[in-house]
Amino acid sequence: MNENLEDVLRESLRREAPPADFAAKVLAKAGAEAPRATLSVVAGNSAKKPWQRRSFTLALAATLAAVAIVPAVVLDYQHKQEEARGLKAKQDLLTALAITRDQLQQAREKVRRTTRIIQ
Amino acid sequence: MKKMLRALISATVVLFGLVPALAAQDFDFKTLDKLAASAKSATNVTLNGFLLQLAVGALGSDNDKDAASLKSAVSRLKGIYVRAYEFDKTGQYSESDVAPLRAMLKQPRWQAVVDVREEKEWTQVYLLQTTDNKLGGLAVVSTEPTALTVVYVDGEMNLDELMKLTGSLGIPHLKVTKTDNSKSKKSGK
Repeated sequence: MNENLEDVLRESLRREAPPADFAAKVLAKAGAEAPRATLSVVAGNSAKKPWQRRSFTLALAATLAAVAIVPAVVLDYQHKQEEARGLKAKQDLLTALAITRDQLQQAREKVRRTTRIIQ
Repeated sequence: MKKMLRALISATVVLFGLVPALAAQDFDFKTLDKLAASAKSATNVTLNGFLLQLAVGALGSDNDKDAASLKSAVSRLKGIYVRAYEFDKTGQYSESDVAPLRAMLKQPRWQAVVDVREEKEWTQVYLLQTTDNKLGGLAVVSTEPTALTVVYVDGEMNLDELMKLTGSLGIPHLKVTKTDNSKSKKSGK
């Protein structure tokens, strides 16, 4: 069984010289493809190769995505920065008000105390 | 003679022009800021313009129920400046550090409403009256042997509302304690 399989494979993979008209057939087929390319140019498509067109489309899509995303990211960052500054400022304001209130209470107490002493 | 008269008139005009400008000048905290280096604890708050707007705008961001009353108390402020220092020992600041501020508060636009001196403590509270008889500012200068506090509030403020806001809105309640040996007050947050 194995020997048979090997024989079959050997037979199939045996090197074989191409037919005499092989080169002529290939050239004839290549000649038949050429008018199709000319036609696509006439139809208005660019003469660029498909891979070039694909990379251009990808670059365009990436640029559009960047244009759409980057400002949003920057705005979000700025918003977060401002929010953090606002919270810090709020904390500072509360601290300042607390100290102000405390100082006024102390002053009030001192006035009361000295007034009592005078009386 | 004419030249002298002209010079005198120009000098007078310049002087009268300068006086209101100087009178309108804010506190110069530069003389105090250097004290932070030698202080045990230092609180430095400078809020004006855009930062103050941000701070007022942020009030109520965490759904505080008293935010509205606090906002109304501070909405017309132009600026709030606090310098509070505590020192380890006496002599780490001198009266000359505070003298420029006291001199500024002697301007006629400021009215001293409290001036209490007790041994080595001195508390002064000044109010600034606007031309239409409103409270346009508040200044507190409090000196103790190991503590110095200066508060300057620029702009209209409702003091009664502020005094009511004890402990609310996260405003820390600064407990005042009196120690017998030093007779100095200490504020702890």
